[in-house]
Amino acid sequence: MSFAKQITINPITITLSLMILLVAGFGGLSVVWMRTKIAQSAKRITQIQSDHKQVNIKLQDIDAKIAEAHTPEVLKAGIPSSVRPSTQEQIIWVPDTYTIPQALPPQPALASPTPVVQTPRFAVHRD
Amino acid sequence: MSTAFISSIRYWLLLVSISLVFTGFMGRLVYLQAIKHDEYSRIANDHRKSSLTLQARRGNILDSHGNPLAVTQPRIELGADPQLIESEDHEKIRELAKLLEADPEEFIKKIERKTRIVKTDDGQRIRKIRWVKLAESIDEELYAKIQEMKIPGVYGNRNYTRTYPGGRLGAHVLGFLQKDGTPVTGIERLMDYYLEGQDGWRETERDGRRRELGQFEKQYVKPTDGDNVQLTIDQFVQNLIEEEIDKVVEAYNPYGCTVIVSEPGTGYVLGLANYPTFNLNESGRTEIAHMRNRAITDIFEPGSTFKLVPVSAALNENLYSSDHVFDCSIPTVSYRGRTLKLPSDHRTYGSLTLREVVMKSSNRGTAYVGLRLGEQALYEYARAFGYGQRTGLGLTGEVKGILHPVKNWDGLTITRLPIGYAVGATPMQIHNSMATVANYGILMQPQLVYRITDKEGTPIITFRPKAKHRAISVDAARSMGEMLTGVVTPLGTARRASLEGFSVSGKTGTTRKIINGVYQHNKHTASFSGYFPTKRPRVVISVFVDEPKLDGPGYGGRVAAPVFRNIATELIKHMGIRPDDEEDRLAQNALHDLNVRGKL
Repeated sequence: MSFAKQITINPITITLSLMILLVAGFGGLSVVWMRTKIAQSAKRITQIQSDHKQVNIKLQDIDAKIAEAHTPEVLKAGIPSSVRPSTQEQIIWVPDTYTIPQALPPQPALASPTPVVQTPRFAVHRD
Repeated sequence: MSTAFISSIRYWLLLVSISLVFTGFMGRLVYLQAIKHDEYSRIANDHRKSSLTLQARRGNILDSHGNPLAVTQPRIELGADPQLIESEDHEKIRELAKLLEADPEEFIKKIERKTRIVKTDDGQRIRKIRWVKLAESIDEELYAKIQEMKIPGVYGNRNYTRTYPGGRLGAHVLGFLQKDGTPVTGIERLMDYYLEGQDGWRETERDGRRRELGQFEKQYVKPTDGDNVQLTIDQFVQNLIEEEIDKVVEAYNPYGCTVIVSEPGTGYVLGLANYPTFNLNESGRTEIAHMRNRAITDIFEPGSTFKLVPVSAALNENLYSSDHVFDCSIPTVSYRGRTLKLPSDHRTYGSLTLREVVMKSSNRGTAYVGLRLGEQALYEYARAFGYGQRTGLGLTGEVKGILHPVKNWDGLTITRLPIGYAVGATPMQIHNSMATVANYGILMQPQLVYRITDKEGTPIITFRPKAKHRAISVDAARSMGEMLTGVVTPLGTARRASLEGFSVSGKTGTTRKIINGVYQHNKHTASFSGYFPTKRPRVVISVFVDEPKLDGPGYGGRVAAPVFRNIATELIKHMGIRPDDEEDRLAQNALHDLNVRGKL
């Protein structure tokens, strides 16, 4: 009585099996590679998000400091004591309809007459 | 074809062994995935999943020129994990304490305590301390320095704190947030819907070291930052009136003080301040009474500042001209079959014209006007000028004041109401009634919010000026305004409010306070409400000083009128308000110009 069993392996089966293994191997590696790349990208994005958040935080901090520096109390403290408020005589009143003259034409060469600038009618000193 | 041979026993042995192994695996799989599924999936999720709230930034509150009055600033709560700090780090901890201006030994004591006893259902247990607070709130700059020290176990938790750069600037207008972010008063509460923004969240997974795995991000909802609220308040004006209040406090040590500045044509409030006030950045340590916005919550009898109501009404009804003469020497009058005692004046007057009645603030003369108007008309005009109803400013705590309906009046009300007694009003109501005269008879809704803008400053909603109704005609308002200029002359009660080169209209008020139902002789509320230039009103200023302490009565003309003048003098420069003669000259020149061009 023989306990041995004969197994017949077809070369086509071997070839197919090898090809399946090859495809599965490469496919698996590709998936791993893809996942690694996705993970790397995601990590970079997370880092950028974190940096962006940090920049925003710094901006907000700077904004708050600027706001503090612009309060009347701080601004007034920075005015030199020699500066005096303007007096009525120093103020020239112009009508609401007054508009700033358009840009003058380019200054001609030497010895040219001074360009005529229309003095606003109401921009005069109050007596 | 190749062949291989395998022993039959070994074949079956191998088959059974493999089957057993797989059966074992399958069994284990069923145990993990079916029987213990809920428990293990919960544990795995707890370890892996991470749901992170992305805090929205609260919008800023800006003044009319875009200067920030309230901003959101990142702050850091600094602490340490005592388990990670070794004895060799103590020197660094001492340096840290010095940097934070704290006691070094106190810090050492804090971090040396590594455990604490906690009470549980099973009794007392010892637990490790993983966090001790070292500093409540530090800024980014300081935190960066601390991080450079590289002390193991010392780290900070960042949070957003509402900061008010001006400290007490506009405290009663801006309001503040509680520690948990709940708005309590002021614009913070009124405009919370726009300011708050919407928190976002991110659901993702973390690795064994608690690092975020971006690739497993499942949900991401971006936070929406709050919008900015731009006020009508001008930071310069606000600061100016607060400085003036400081001077009043220094000079008269009053119980309270309120100053309101607004534009009559739009109802835009340029500045509103009260005393006592408080620092918004220290709201947690402030007395509740100091937080009260007295301009809208406190009522008092307006006194003479109310007189513009009956006189305007009489002018509107064409009952009197400004030259009508009243005999102010008679102490009683017969009214509807009854003899009524007229209120006395602080000095004896003889005959006064209506103009002089206003100029000298004669109680008796004004009472005559009230009698001629009658109860119902007087009541209706008081309502038309905004008394007995909320102004609509929008801030919480505003009261309606007291203006009883005619049916509840007693016999004396008809002579007392015209002079500003038997009526309770808030400073804002009194200010608004003066603004109505300045605005040619139209009562405007006072407004604090100009517009809502997004982060980039693009307007989203603009709140246009809102006219409530016409109280009196343009002619009546002009006549009233012209009469009120007499008050600010050497013959009037408010010569100290006069401005060189400018016509000023205004009215003083000096009211005796009622304490425990009794009128006090030595406790007054001094007030002055006025506007300028009379012909083309640009600004209305009202000053109320509650119980100024000085020798003699605290008359409005003495205490409040100078404050008006000081504020007005600065506003002329700040707002570019032209003097009367300059205004007239420019108007004449403009007419001449149009004539020359043949347009007239």
